[in-house]
Amino acid sequence: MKRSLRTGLRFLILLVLIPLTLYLCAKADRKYYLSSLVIIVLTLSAFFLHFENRRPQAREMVVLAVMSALAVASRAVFAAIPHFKPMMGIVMLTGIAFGPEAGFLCGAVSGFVSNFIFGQGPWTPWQMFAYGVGGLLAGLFAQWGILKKVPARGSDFAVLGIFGFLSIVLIVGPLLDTSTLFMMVNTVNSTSAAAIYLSGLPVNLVHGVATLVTVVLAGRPLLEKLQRIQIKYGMME
Amino acid sequence: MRFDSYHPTINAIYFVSVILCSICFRQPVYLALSFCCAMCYLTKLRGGKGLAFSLALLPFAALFALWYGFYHHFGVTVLRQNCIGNAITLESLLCGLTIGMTAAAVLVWLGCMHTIFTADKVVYLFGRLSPRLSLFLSILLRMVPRIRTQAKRINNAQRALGRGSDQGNILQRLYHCLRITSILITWLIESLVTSSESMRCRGYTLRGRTAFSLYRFDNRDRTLVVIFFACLTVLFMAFLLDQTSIRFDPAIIMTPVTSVSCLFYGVYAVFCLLPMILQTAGEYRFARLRAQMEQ
Amino acid sequence: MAQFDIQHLTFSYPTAPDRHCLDDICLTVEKGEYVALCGKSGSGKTTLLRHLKSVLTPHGTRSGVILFDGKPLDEADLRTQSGRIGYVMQNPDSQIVTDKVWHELAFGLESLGCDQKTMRLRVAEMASYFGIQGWFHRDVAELSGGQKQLLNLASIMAMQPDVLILDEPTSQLDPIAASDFLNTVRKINRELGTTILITEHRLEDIFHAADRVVVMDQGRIVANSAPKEVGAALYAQQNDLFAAMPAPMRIFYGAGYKGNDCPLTVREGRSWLSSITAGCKICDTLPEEAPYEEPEHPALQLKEVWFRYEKDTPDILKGVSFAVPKGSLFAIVGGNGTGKSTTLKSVCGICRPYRGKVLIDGKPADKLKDLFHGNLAMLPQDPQSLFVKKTVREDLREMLRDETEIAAMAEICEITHLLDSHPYDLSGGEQQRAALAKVLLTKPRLLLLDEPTKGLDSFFKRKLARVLRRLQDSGVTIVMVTHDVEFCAENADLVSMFFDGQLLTTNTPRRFFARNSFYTTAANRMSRHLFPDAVTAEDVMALLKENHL
Repeated sequence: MKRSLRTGLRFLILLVLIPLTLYLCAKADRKYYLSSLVIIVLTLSAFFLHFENRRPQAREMVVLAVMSALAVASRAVFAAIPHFKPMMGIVMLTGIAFGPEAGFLCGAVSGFVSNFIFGQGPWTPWQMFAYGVGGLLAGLFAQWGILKKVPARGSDFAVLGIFGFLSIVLIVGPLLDTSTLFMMVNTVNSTSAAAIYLSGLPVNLVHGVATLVTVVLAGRPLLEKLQRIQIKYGMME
Repeated sequence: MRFDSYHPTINAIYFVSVILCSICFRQPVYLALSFCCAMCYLTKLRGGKGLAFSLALLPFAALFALWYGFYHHFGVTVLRQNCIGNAITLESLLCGLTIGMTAAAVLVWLGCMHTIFTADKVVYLFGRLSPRLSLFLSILLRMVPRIRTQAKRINNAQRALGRGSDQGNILQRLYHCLRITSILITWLIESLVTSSESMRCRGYTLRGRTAFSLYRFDNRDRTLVVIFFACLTVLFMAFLLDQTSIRFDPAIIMTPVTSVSCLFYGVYAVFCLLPMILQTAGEYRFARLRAQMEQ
Repeated sequence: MAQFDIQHLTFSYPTAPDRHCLDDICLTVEKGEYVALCGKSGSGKTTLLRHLKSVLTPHGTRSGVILFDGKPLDEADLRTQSGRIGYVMQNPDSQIVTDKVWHELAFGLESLGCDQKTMRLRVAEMASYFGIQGWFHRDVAELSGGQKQLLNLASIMAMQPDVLILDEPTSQLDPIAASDFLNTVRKINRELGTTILITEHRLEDIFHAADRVVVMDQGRIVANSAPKEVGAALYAQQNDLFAAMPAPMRIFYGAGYKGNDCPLTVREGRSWLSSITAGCKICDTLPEEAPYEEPEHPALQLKEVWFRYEKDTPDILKGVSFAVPKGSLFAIVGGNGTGKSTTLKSVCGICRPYRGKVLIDGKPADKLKDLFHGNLAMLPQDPQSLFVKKTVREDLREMLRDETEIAAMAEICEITHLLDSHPYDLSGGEQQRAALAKVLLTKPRLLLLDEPTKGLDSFFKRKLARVLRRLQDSGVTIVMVTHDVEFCAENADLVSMFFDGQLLTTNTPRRFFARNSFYTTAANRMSRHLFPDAVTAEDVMALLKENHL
């Protein structure tokens, strides 16, 4: 595929296809799940097309691949404890170290690849999107200076941990619950929504705690090690 | 001979369309056809495990129907009152069952897809869209087993010092695990440097990257595309004629079944069974050829 | 026109601007030539090779010119350089980028933007030429080290380079895989006329194939000529590197012969020995070694040990029995996958034998309370799997808080000057000794070594031998598993042959190797028709001197 073609395709997706899907969704049977799925797949494709056009550097590719692989491996290791997924912690640290875009990519791809182990399903695109958003947020907060590139003082760790916990409980978890909502419920109203979000809360709390533990424990060593090779080999400026 | 010997694009088109059909076609006949065919195919692919998985989904669908009927009260046929005085209706129960069965059918299809659609097919398809993304996936798929072996190696080295992940009391074990993780991450990050150098050595940063694949789109694949689209056209007509839908609110409304509907059912069944038919026919032909040779 | 023409290249790293890592290098490499580059670790070999490919060139201050095909190398764009200059690195594993063999083969072609048809053909060609068809569809993770390195070579050759640069390509391979690999390199040079530039510490395997040998020392070229002349030059300079030369050459000059006509291979060595001893009466007795007897109180004893990994997999150890005398260096040799490493693992409890006994100082190993404190320790094959901290010192402190103890251990292992470096910034041999120091801080009486000489050059091997000797003097018993026959012959007290899950024979090195005809040292193979008991080059030289030859 040519570069210009890819750019064109991206604009087509963002400007035509997504609004069209929204319109059809409102107009037709209100098949929330299907249309949300289509929108998410389109968004992800647009992002991936952008990734191709940007021609990422070799080291960027391998660093991100390693971080995603670590994230996947961490999910596999803790599979025995239900809902205790340290994966998001590693995705967030990637976002902090390499910026929002890398965070999104790492989250989306690790969600996808880990489902090769845990089973793909209609939830995969939603999961990719939610995890991606988690990484993106961490990257943004780091860019705004709220999260430190390498946490040193106790307060940095506290901020990091609180951020990890809250972003899961308030954003990533509810996003995943929305997918459940659209899948399970025929008509979306405040009662059904409340029921789903409330029943998801305990799971999200466990997930949030797992993330908090991961970012606080792994944060410093991981970010320090990444910084060392950034300095030694001049990577990822 | 299996369906995965066909071109990945064919696999992708087939599974996407069959899953979309399963989601969209809620009329009971279509739903039953989709579920049964998926179940047969999964059994063919995975044996008894596949059958057990499919059958195990049925009670869940029933449970979901009950739960759904308990919370939704639309419909005109009231069966009884529940404990807090709301009406339980046939329509809502059936609607719940339909949703449950749809989900079950999709899950069984996904099970088939999981067996047929291996990671390298995904890598290939991504390669069409973006060679770099597919390369990224490929690197990632190489990393995961590497991390696993290296973790094992490090654990063994630490065990020889009495610091393995299974030595000492719980707290010590936790500490040992953390140390092993730390060593692993250091090693990984350092080994990245070589990997990226090796990529750059082979011109990774050049413009105009292509993606190599072992797949070839042959006449067999073309035939299959034609058959697919013939089936899909017929099914689309069924969809336009409102043959595939069902409404539950306020009462069960369905387009009446005519002789033409039976044609549509037949086509849908063929479409859903296609991979299995191809595989069985291939196996039969193979067995016959072998028998002929042995004579 | 020369392929590479390096003129007055001087280079220093930003971390040490005063030390010239390359010092006024002038070197010409002709088209189709096979050039071997040798020197100690840290002599600037790798730095020089990296200058020959722009994407790998390190940062630092540099002067001088490098011409590639008569034009400055910097003017050749990335596409030209990627396609025409192939570079194979040391570590087979981390060079491979993708997950499938076929994908890795096509990686370079994908970068060059070839179309499917061309790629298919080239990949097919490569797979056939390198004999990869059998594992073409496999996952990379399933390959052996030798196969991985061959894959790296093939995936670079797929781009049809004019020059192939190899930086210690066999240091992580076992001897059989290594010589296979080097034979393939030689074949490429002979059959395709590809220019080869190789650094290697297994000089025996490349010396006879090389057209020219370039020797580097502290950033300078100290010798640059045909292999035979290089030996003479190094001997004349009394250079340390002479010890790394092939055994026949060392014996030739060591016995006092002069001239440029020294033997390079075992075959040449044999005929040279035959020619000088023709018609003489030969005295072939060396001082008698005491025969091996089972010790009464062994430091380590295995009695009929059986082990398998899973319930329904074949046995790996099939009744291994041996006894190691206190204070000795006990070497176990044997091929790949025979169960040597598993034996070590079963001693230190990583593998639990399902039958048989492991006795340490006469007590069962699994009953010992503090097995890992003051009793035994194992140095893994891969020293990097021990480093946790940011400096070697912190890493040692993690084992033991006692500073004087650490300083003493650093002294023994000769790493005092490295204590403040990051473990990953050390060279292979230095990492090995740092890891050894770390392991030794548990004060073991029994030290297990798994392939300690893997990837070390002869200089570091001698350093390691010195360290081991010191440990033995302080009463440590050492059990070592290795492929390195020469190292065993020179340093071990007892050598055992491991095959098919069993330990076959145990004997002193001289008795052990003198009886083997294949699995023995180069010096022995070269001189066995005259001096059947001579095992090391020193033995042969001593006998030659005794016979006044």
